[in-house]
Amino acid sequence: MRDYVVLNDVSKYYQMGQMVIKAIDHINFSIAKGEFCIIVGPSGAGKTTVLNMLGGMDTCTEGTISVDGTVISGFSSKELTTYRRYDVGFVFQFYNLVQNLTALENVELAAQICRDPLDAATAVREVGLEGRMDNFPSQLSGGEQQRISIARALAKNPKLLLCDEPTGALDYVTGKSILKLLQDTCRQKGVTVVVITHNSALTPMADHVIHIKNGTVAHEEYNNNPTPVENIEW
Amino acid sequence: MTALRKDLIREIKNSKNRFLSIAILIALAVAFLSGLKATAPDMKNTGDEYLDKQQLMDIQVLSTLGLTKDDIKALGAQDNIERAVGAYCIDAWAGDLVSKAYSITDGMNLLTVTSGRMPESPDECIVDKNLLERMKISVGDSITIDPSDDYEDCLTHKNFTIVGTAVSPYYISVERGSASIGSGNVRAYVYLPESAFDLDYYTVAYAKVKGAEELAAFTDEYDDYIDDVIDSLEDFGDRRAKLRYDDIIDEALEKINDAQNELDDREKEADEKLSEAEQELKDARRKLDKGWKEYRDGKKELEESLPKLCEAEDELADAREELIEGEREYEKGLDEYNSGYAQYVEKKLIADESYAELVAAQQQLDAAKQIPSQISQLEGAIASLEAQKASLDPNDQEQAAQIEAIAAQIAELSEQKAYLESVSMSEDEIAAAQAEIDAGMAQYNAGKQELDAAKAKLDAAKKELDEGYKELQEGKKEYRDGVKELEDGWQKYYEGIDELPKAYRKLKDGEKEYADGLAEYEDAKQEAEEKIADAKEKLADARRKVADIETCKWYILSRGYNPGYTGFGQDADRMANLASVFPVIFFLVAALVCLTTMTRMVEEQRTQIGLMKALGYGRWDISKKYLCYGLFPSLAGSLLGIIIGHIVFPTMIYVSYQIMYEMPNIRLSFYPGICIWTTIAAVACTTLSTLWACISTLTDSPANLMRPKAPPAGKRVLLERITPVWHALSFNWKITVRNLFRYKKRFFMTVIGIGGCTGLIIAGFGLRDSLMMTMDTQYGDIFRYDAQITLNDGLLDTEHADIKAYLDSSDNISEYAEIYAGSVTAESPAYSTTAYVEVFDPEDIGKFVITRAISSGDEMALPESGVIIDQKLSELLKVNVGDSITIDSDGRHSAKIAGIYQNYVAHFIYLTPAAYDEIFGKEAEINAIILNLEDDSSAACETTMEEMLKLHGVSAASRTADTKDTYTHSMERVDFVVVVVILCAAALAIVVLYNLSNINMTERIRELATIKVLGFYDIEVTTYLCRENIILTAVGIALGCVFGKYLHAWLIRSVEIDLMMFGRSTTAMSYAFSAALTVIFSAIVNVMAHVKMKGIDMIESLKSAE
Repeated sequence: MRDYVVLNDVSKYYQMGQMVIKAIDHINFSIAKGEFCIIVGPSGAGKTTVLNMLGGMDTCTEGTISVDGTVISGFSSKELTTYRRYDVGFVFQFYNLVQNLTALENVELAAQICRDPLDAATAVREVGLEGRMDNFPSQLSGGEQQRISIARALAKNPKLLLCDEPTGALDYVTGKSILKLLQDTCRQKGVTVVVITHNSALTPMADHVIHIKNGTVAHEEYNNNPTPVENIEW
Repeated sequence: MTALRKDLIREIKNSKNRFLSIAILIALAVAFLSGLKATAPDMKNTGDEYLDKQQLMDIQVLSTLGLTKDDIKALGAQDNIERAVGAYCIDAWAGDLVSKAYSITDGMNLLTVTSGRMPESPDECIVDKNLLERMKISVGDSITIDPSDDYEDCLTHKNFTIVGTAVSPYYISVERGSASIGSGNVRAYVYLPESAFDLDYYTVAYAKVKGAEELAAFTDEYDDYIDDVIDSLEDFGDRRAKLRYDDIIDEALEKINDAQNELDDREKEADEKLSEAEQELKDARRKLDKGWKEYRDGKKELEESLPKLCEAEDELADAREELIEGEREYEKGLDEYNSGYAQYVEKKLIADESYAELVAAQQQLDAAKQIPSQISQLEGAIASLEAQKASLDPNDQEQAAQIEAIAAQIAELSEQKAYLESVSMSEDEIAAAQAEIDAGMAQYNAGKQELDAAKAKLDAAKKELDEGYKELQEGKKEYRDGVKELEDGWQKYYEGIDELPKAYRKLKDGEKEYADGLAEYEDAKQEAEEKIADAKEKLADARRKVADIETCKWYILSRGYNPGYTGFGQDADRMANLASVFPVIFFLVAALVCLTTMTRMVEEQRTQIGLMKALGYGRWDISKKYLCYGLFPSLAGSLLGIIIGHIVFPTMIYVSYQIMYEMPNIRLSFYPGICIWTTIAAVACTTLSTLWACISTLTDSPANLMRPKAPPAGKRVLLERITPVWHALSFNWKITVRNLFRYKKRFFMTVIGIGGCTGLIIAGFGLRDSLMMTMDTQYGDIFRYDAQITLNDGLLDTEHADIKAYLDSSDNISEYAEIYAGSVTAESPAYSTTAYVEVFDPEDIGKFVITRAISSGDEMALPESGVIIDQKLSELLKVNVGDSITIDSDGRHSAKIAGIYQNYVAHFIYLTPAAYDEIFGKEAEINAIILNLEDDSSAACETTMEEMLKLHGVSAASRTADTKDTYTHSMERVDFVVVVVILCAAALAIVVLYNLSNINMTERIRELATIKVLGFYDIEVTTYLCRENIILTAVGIALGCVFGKYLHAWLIRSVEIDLMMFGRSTTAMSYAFSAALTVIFSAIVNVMAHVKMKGIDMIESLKSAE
């Protein structure tokens, strides 16, 4: 299952007036099932574009993307939605919780549209917020919100957990605990987790690190013994 | 150009839709407001100009006794009157039409000749075009003008040549007012030259008031001014009226007084003669009666006297015998007496002799008895003398003389004594003598007694005899008298027997004479009485007529009395009325939209504002952009709206009113006032909402502004506390409910927008419903009859019989009823308006007209007394069941309202013949017939009506369906209003909903993007968003139904005219349609939202909440 997620010669161009901007230029990599993968690179390197394409939020201009054997590049908008619905869990940098729903309800919002969701309350409990289930997002701290965001993603029982700078808006300690949660989730549940970050200090905790620069993969590395989050400092 | 200005211009360029939507909304609102507002003054100005040009009088004076030339002159001389003219106006039949015939006046109430020319000779006339249309004749034809009975012979001609048609400024509407002839409904007017009238007084005076021309007609200012003038003329009018009345009354009274005097004289004369005759007759009667009595008495006396006479004869014979017997007895008694008397005398003589002897003897004896006592007496005297002699001194010479005298006396006494002693007898002797005498005396006394008894007896017998004699003599006399009397009696008797038949004859003759006299007297008396009674009756009639001459009253009337004049002003005001609600809705919506738009815009540019502040721009500089952004579209919209409003609305409305008013085309004006304040309203509406939108943002600190604004926090809603309900809701609904309460401002705006939209559509449909219902109910449910026939005044019995015969025999007439129908003025202290009085047989009415009680809707029977009136009339007059109204027709009568029924077109006061009699004090004359036809198709009805009109006595016929068509046709313009209202409502709904859902989406773009990322299908995302819209739409529709109900009710009342009541309710279908339309508009907006939602870029969700 090395090739659970495969990007094959994927390019993404944006037409800006007369100019063609190559956000992603012939990129190739694959991620194994149950892998904790970090895509790292400087701002504007194209890592978010990769994530968007992986998450079915954006399409690629060239090349093929396949997830669990299904080629998602070339999916229609509706097929993409279905793909997002059943196969992908998202964790956003700014949590993107629905303000008008309680913690539990935010999780339910995602869970209710899945085929085989986890129990929402269980999901919340798993992220350690059983006490805050009935609180609204505005009553939660950033870390707590991000935990709910993760719970929401996990409740869908996704094939792929995509996290876009999950610690970007959090302080160091909280960020660490979120990363720990992600790592634990990966290890314990065998969920394939892809984290995007510009912070290369985090790379030791990953099984698989993909460095992206100017729209291409600069290099890839695999850690056979990933460092537990607790031991990472930045 | 400063950067700020560039920014503003780009802003506008980049958000053309937003800018335009505000401009269009404002234009709509302003067009509506300024248009409706301008319509009233435009209409009034057009009217005023027209009436001024035609020199329509400001006031007219009607007098119950007409107006003289002097009256007109006096009126014209009043301070506030510019000039006055006298004119004639009479009710007349022009051909078959009830018309008003006027005299053409110089310089006032000028006619506008529409074809032909003005009349030039007294037998020409110019007419209302209605007359030609209705009678199907044309200019050049001649027409018979037949004045009403009150003005018989007041025209010099009977036939007039029609030389043209004209429009009179007196009649500005198609209404022609009412008259006292025929159906009472004036159909047309006719103008004749003044020389065509032959009346010694004017029937009306027209006057122009000084300074009134400068004022605009139909305004309160003008009305108040004229009212003041009318008030000030009141006294003058009363004075003139009194003058006129006194003149007429004086003249009449003089005549009556002369007649009365003559009558009195004649009556007196007749009375005298009659009473003389009566007295004579009475005397004769008394004499006759006396004669009869005498006759009867005489006869009775005679009859009674016969047996009496016979009896008297017998009695006389008896008396004679008795007399003879009495005489014999008397003579015998006399003889006996005479012999007795002789015996007595003899015996008496003897007794008397013996008695004298006895007396002498006694005397002797008595003397003898006296002697002893005399002796003792003497002795005593001697003794005393001796004593005396002893006591005397014999020595004394004197005494010695005395002694001698005494001695002499003693001597004498002694001598006497001696003599006495010598004659004295012994006592025995005396006793014996005495005894003897006593015996003799006794014997004598016994004899004497016997004699006296005999004497008494004799005397008694003598007396008896004398009496008997006297009696006898009397008896004889009596007898003789009796005999004489009897003879007289017999004589008289025989005379009486002779006389009685004569007297009887005489009496009979007298009796006959008397009877003749009496009869003569009675005849004469009756004749005289009849003549007097006649004369008196005539006089009383004359007096009654004089008394009936109403006190002359001047009615000084304003133009409001002209048919349609007030209506025109009211119609104009009604437009201004409409202007006060419709545009408010639009302004409200414009303000709402502007507020939300600007709020969103300020919200979007929060950071920019922060930046500007940070750069050091003042609050004013920053807000200028937003204020200008609000100001420009409102100015542009106002300009556009004012142009459209000032042109389109007045023209459109006026053109539709021209169906009802005969007025020249509208003259549009520009009203700076209206423009300024509608613009101010529009500008205020946008700028204030802009200010409100940006004020909080502007006052915030730059630092805060440049930080992203925290989205509104989620909150629990009340519903969550009701756990069972909350749990029953699906997850999606829970979200929806929370969202609804989260964005309260939007909630209310959407609900108000949708509600307004639904309400407007309901009002529009309702207006149509009301009118259609009015027609359908009136002519389908209320008026069941198919046609109405008007009969001539003073219908002859033969004509009536012919008509009835036709009605009974016609195959096409299934039912008919003869009724009285008259046009009257119904009044209460609150109002007065024209209405029809219709008298129905209580059993008939149900077949032709259904009167339903307003409250229950049950069919009402005609009440025994009192009247039933229609709902609109009761509302106009502000009266209720049990109150009374005044009905003015030939005098004012008070009628009690027994019921109020549902009716829509015109006003009808229904009552029974008995009630009519009671209220009007006269019998209701049949003057109309209403019919139910077997076949009421146009052709069949036409045939029947033509046949009927050929009958004498039938003056007009009208078909219910035609009337309905006429009304329905005039109602069709309402459809246009409905379309306009619905379009406006649609625009409103779409603009509001689109705007709001747009804002909703922009505000929640991150949330939407997130759930898209979470894998919600497009339709699910739209549903997520639109579920709120659906609920808001539902709530809005519900509210809108309530709002629409009231808006419709208000709208109906503002467009209603006095003559009609529109249906007050809307059908369920209208509500359904309105709701459906609103749903459709809402759906359109939701589809647009869906399209827009699809375009949301999910990548947005990954961005920071900027």
